[in-house]
Amino acid sequence: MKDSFNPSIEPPKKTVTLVSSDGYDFEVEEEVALESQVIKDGFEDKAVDDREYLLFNVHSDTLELIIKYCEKHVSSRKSISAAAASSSSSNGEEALKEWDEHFISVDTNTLYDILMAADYLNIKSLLDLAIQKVADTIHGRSPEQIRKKFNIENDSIIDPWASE
Amino acid sequence: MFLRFFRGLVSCTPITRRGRRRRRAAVKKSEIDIWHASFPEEIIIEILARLPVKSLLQCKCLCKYLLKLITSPYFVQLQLDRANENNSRIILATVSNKHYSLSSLDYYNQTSSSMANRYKLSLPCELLIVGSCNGLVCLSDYKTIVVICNPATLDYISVPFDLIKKRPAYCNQWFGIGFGHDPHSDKYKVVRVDMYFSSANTGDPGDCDLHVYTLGTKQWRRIEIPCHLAQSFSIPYLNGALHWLRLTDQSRWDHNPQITDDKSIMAFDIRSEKFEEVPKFSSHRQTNERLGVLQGCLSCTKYYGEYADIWLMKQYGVKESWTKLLSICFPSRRSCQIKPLVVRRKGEILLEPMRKSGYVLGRAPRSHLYEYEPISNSLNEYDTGNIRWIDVHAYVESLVTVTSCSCEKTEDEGKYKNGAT
Repeated sequence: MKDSFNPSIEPPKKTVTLVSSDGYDFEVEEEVALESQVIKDGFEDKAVDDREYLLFNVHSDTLELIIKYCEKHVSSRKSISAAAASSSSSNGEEALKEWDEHFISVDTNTLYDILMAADYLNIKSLLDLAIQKVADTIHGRSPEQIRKKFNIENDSIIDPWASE
Repeated sequence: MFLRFFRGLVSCTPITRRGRRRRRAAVKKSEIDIWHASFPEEIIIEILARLPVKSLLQCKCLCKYLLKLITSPYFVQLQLDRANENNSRIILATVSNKHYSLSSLDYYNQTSSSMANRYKLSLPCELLIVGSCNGLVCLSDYKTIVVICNPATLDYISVPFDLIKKRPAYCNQWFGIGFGHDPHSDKYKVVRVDMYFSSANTGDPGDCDLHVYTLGTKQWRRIEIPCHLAQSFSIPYLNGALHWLRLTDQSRWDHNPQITDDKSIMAFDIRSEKFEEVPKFSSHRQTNERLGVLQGCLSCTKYYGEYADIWLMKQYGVKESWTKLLSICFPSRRSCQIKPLVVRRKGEILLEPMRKSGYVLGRAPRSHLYEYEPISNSLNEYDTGNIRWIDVHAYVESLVTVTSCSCEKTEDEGKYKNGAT
């Protein structure tokens, strides 16, 4: 049996604690937390035993989703590069794209929370995904549908396209 | 700044030790008005920048905030820059039941014509496409008027030719038209070449006039031409200039093929309104050739026999950068008269089959283009489906308005006129 499968020999994974706005602790692996550019930027300056981040703008419901996203991306990046190293064909990137698509198919409020959190934590790929999702939601809808979906109040300007 | 703010928060806040886990507060998320209150403006801009023009026009009507944002010069430019990336949209001058209009197709994403954007703009008569620049399309009947419009926003102006010089009875006359933009002053200009030559074969070298119309000024101005320009109906615009092949001193406008200069191309700078020379690759054979724009480069298509060679000047103004992109063999000598339009991801090129005698109105509308596939080196018909079209050009959808750029300058012109009189 390979050594790496033996938990007693494997070095303990370094972890970081993320604290949501409503006071929940989330212990995540270092590399998962480093998906956030904001955490990454100040990471080296912080003492190892003080790696705790208070995320005032991120609710625990959203943080859970964000961590799920980062974990998935870290693990699939590993498997993609492993597949590339062994030159075996893999459809990892396609699968990840599909996973992303499924991940971001949420209701408007959740989408909004993810978008704001991704912006706050500066996770570029997730921000991109969420922005594209909002754009896709708007595209092909009538002004009335968009208004309803995003709760935009009509502040009374003449609407030449309303008949469309 | 945002980053510093965040870091500040992280480091300054005294952290209470473990055991903070508490009952989840039953926070009911209030209804959110996403656009106004909650999203930072840069995120809203980023969302909007990913929408097609049609959706943007709808969003513009949602509320005052979005109207202001979408019509701001910053956003109009951002949308244009984004649309120009990997653009492979074409515009078609269409006809159905004597109704003339415009439609656009995105060659990049679409394989069928069912997704065509059919614009609600209706044209006054049968017009050919002169050119397109920043989402504005310039059309003309090559006799009396020029029309400049943004089909996506339904902006439209028409400019009469205002011919001053009456053509002598024994002369043939035709026009070449170009449309370009001066990014420094943000002015759009129409350039018209009037050519006259004797219909009898008398060796008359002919006469040639160049007129410039700046949008908003309501007048054509005459500019001197330093040399003979080759016959060209729609004059390609690139890099702030319009481009002509140059004729040798011996050549006449009614020669076919025209004998063109091997060393240089004449570029008319839209801003300075002066001619400059741009180097050309030397080819040993004198054949028919045509300038165009492909992949953001000046292109030159040379026709001989059943072959059409497409050359690109990869680096503008650098002679050594002229590269032969490809050589396409056509089934017949006649069909090789093509004009390259746009390129897609894997290098597929959309080609317009040319009419034998160039720009003549009143011909039967067409329904297909050619598509050249470099990997299999094959040439296929590209069906435009139920769209019957007269002319086609590369195009990008934008929010640029014709009326705003012309109105503004009309005022300037008014001031100038008042001052002058």
